[in-house]
Amino acid sequence: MKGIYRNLRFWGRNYEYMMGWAIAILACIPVICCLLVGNPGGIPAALTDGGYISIGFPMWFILMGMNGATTYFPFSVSMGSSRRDSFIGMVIMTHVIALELLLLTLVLGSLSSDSLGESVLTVAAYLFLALLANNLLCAIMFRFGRNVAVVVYILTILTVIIGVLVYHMVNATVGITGFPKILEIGKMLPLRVWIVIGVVAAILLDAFSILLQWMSVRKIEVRE
Amino acid sequence: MEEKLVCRDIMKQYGKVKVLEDIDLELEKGKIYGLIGRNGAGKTTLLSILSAQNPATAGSVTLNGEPVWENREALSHICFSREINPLRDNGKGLKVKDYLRAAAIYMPGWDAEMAKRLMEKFGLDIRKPVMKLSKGMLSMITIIIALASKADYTFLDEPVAGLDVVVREQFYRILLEEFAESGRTFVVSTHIIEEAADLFEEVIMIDKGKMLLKENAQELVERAIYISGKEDAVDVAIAGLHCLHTEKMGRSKGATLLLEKGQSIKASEEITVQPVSLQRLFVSMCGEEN
Amino acid sequence: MQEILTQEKSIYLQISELLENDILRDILLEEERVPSTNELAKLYVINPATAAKGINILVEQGILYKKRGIGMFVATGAKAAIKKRRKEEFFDNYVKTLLVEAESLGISKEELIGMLQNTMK
Repeated sequence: MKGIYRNLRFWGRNYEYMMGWAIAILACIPVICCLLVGNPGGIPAALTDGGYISIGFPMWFILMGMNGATTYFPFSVSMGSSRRDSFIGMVIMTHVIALELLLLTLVLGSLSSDSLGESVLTVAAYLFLALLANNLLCAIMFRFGRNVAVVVYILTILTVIIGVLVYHMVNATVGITGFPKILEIGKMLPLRVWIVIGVVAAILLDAFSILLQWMSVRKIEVRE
Repeated sequence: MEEKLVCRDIMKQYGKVKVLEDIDLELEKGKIYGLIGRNGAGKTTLLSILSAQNPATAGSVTLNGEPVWENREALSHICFSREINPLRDNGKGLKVKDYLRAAAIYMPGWDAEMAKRLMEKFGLDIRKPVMKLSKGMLSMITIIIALASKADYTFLDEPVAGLDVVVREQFYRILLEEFAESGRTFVVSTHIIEEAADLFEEVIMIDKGKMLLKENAQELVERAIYISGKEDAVDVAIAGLHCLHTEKMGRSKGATLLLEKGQSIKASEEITVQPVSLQRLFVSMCGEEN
Repeated sequence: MQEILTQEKSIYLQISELLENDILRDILLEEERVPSTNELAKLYVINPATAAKGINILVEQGILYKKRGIGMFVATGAKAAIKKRRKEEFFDNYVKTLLVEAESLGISKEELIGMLQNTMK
């Protein structure tokens, strides 16, 4: 337990520090935009705009996760921690940070006029995807090196962006007919059940991606 | 259970290349070991494996009988203070205080007072990013972490790289002082053999991934001699003995020998017998002309 | 105590020699405490075990003895014992070399004796 506790202190300190800076910087963007546009009154709304949070937070989260893993993980091992303890500390703290971001979103969301339920669910979904992505990217990074992981990261983002654009374009011109079927399946079970299924699936996916990461990290070497 | 850090049949390979082979070593408590070898001989790799920072491809490392790999208890007794390379992941964006803070978190015996004192003595600024430090300053941080760790088994990899001779001598003194006070085991790998030779109780010599010898430093140096004189006289004298290296000039010949216990060569009017320093011995054994 | 160590001779032998020299020069008197292994190690920047080895040689020869809990002391009669031993070694260390060198240079027995008589008045 001592080993894990030490790692919680280490990762906690580093990650809180990194995220703190990230959030502060992110918060500046809408503030500066509003000021440039000459609309200081719009700052609260801009800060709580779901779109900016739901994209900004996850992206920073992944960057923090990858950077932390690449820099701090070997560092902790070189200081005498076992890989297992460091890994557990890292994984726990990434989840803690994700939860903190979620809470932050809740707080901001309660200040805004958006419907709370929807934006929280959306952000939760995005953050979870970010968590998953982080785990998978770190697994790739530990196994194949940082450059490969960064390339995968960039490619994925591009794919998502292109996919979203394509979707909007197609929808605007032709209209998508595939979705109603999904909505009907969705109506088969009550929302609560879907939420439970969603949570269980999330936990399983998370566990699986953590396992993948552990497989890559288990025998990692500390190199000069 | 005797208190020792033991490694048996260590083999390490990267792809098809074996960087370490057949390494058998026992490190006892309360000794200063010198680990000498050329660049690329495998010193850093060996220290990494002994401290479980890298896995061996084959073989085992145990501390007091327990395997060291991923063993929290064992790891808390070992400190491997590596060369800090600010360009690789190890040092990116990190500041000196990050190192000291991490050391304080991870090393159970960390002596913050000592670290502070040494930082002041060497004039190091805790807020400086590692990337901005000179090689000498990086070495000093490595040294400070190693000494203040108070670990039972402390490894230093090329600790004096980049340090000028005055600071090097300060380091040797500080190391001996700490050793005298705490009786910790130190393993110091170094290129600057001659300066450090007097510090070592035992010498471990590594060449091309293999261990050439592990012996009491004084006894080893006593076994080494250099014979010179007219070629035929020298040849007669060295017949049947373990000759490491010879050189010729005109009619004279010089030979560096490593004698076994009980063997000796007497000087005469034909041949001069001289002692050999550890550094000369090392070059004779690991130099390229062999 | 102020000699520098060379790299060409076993350190521990040099330590025992310099302690002997100090005893002969009355820098260390009989029944006086000699520096501890740690003090010697610190002074000459050598491993304490090496210093200890040097001291042990003298203990074995009866030049030094140990007072438990206090340290190492010069034995009574140490100075005389050192002189005696060095006298015995004088022939091997100096005379033999002298003879070998003289022979290789072709100096005759008479020349050699002549040299000695002229110098030692």
